[in-house]
Amino acid sequence: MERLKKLTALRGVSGFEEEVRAYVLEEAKRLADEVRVDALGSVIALKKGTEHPEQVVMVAAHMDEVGFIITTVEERGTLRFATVGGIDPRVLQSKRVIIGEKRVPGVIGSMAIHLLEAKDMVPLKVNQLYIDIGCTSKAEAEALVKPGDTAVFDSDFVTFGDGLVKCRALDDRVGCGVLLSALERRYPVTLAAVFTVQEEIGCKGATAAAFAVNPNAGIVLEGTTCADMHGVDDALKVTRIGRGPVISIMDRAAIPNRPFRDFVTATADEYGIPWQYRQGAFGGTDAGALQRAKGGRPVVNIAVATRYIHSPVNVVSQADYLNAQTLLMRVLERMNRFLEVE
Amino acid sequence: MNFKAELKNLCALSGPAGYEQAVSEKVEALFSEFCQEVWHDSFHNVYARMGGGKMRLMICAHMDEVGMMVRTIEDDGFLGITKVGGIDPRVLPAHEVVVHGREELFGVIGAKPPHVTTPAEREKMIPLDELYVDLGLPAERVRQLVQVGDVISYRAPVIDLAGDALAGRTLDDRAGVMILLETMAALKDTALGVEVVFVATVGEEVGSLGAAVAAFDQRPDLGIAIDVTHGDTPDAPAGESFPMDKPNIGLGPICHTGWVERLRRVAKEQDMDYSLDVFGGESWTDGDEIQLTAEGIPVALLSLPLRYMHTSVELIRMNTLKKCARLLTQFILSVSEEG
Repeated sequence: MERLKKLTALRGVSGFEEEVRAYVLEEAKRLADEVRVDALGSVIALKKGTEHPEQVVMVAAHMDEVGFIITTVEERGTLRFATVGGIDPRVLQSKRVIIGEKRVPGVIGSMAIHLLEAKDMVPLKVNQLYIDIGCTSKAEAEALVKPGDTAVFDSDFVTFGDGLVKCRALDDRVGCGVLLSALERRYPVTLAAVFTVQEEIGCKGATAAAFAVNPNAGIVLEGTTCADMHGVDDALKVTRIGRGPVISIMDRAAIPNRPFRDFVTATADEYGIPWQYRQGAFGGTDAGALQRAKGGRPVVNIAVATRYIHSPVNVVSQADYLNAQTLLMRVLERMNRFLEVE
Repeated sequence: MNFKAELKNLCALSGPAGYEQAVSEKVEALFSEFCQEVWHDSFHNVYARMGGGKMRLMICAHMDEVGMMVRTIEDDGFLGITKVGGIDPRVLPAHEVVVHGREELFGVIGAKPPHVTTPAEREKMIPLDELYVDLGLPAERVRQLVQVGDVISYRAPVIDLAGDALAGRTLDDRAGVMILLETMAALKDTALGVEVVFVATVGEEVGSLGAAVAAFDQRPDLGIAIDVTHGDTPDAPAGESFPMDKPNIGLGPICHTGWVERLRRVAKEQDMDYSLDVFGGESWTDGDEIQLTAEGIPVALLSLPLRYMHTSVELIRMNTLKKCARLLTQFILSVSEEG
């Protein structure tokens, strides 16, 4: 959990993953045989296989997170912003944010309820909201923030409830954490650990990296939708927190390879690792990019169920996270079996 | 005393209306730093008496906060909620809270992910009765720890913003309590010719229950409510929101014109700039209740501009808080000298 905590303390809005990349690079250099950063900014770390080094399994986790980009500094010192990635504007009102490398704190403002008419009690759109950093003029604000600076939710790492964790950006720092753990071991086949950029705006990093790595198979690690909260119809819950790593059947970007998927779930069953299907086809992941690479490759997703995804309060289960680590290692240990029968 | 640090400590304590005891105990300790005669009543209003003379002033600021309460415990362990005071339900999705059950429990107010909401749903505000607190615990554990009626407060720190700005929970009206404290600190070595009773009140957010009790008990010759008013923001209407760098003097039907004039005169004598908060009906402060206590009590209002009222990111300027304390101090000295 210490590594996950470190990963979530770093900022990495899509396209601006520098802080996460610096940490991942440092760790990967310690753990892998070969490490490079590609042209888009993804980190590719190779750990040579002991028996079949020519067989390459690419495992991807994205370093980026949803967030904000400052568009305008206004005369009165307030900031206007755009969202980066899919954020429901209804979670924004009255939340704290941290802006830019200087980590300037701010709050997302809106008029107090007392001044509102009942008919105006509707969700505010992003262009009606603004960030208040306490400045009284444009000049004062420009000394701290400039257009193009990115911002993230200000949300700390809290363990609570029945072994749960709350933080921002658990999607997909859980994936980054699982992947770094996997690099601590060596497997019969070669592991290409790829920490991708710009997943939240359309899987940009994975598309380029999959072409470069040219793997024999791909595994994508994700924080995935979990709508198991009260008031959601059972058919729409998609995943349940605490019920093990999530195996995707299909989404809008990819249809995971059936034999590969069965291989992963059989491995989980054999080792007594709980797992669940992702009962929904919403969204898309880097698996879409991987599956299309170089004439097509078998892919699967191993994900951690994440409540309140794309909000300041992502919630995951520590057990799910650790089980995803174990499952990935078990699968990698025996990947030669899958690739030989493929 | 580091007033800013103490303000942050005070704001960290939970005290929705009716559940102010922890705040009350802290305020009593703070008042005791600058005043010999400090006590509390059965409502947990905290009083501090200074000086003496023919005239008695009661100066109050409320220490309660808006909050929530557990309405239901659902079969899946989620908590249905209702509000204590005027909360905008639109700020609650993805908000962190503390549920004050048998122990303090961290929780988040859930929002359904965009993937499972329809575009039509996203156009609508999620009403309060469709918002649930997630404690991350199975229902049987929740039932052991939480009861219907337990209070819920915002989990949020008070943070420093640029310049002298602060933002966080409960600055409405703990900042007002801090104005009382700074005023007491300024006057602690002065022999006052007027009796001043400072009161940190309870229950303002649900109708100034504490102020009604305190005013009846003290029957002052003048009651001054120290509260917050709306700070200017890009979206707030002019005339109902005010510059952040000046104290506000209230001017409406419930305010005593003579005392309002006196406050304005003192500000002018001290060369202090202020805004005039002109309103037509109720002030929505403790002043409304104080005015109608017993045979009637003259009321004046002094307010600190605050943005984003009743959220967990209420924003004030520390220098303006100090200006309010200075104006109040000078007003008390003026009454002390001239009657």
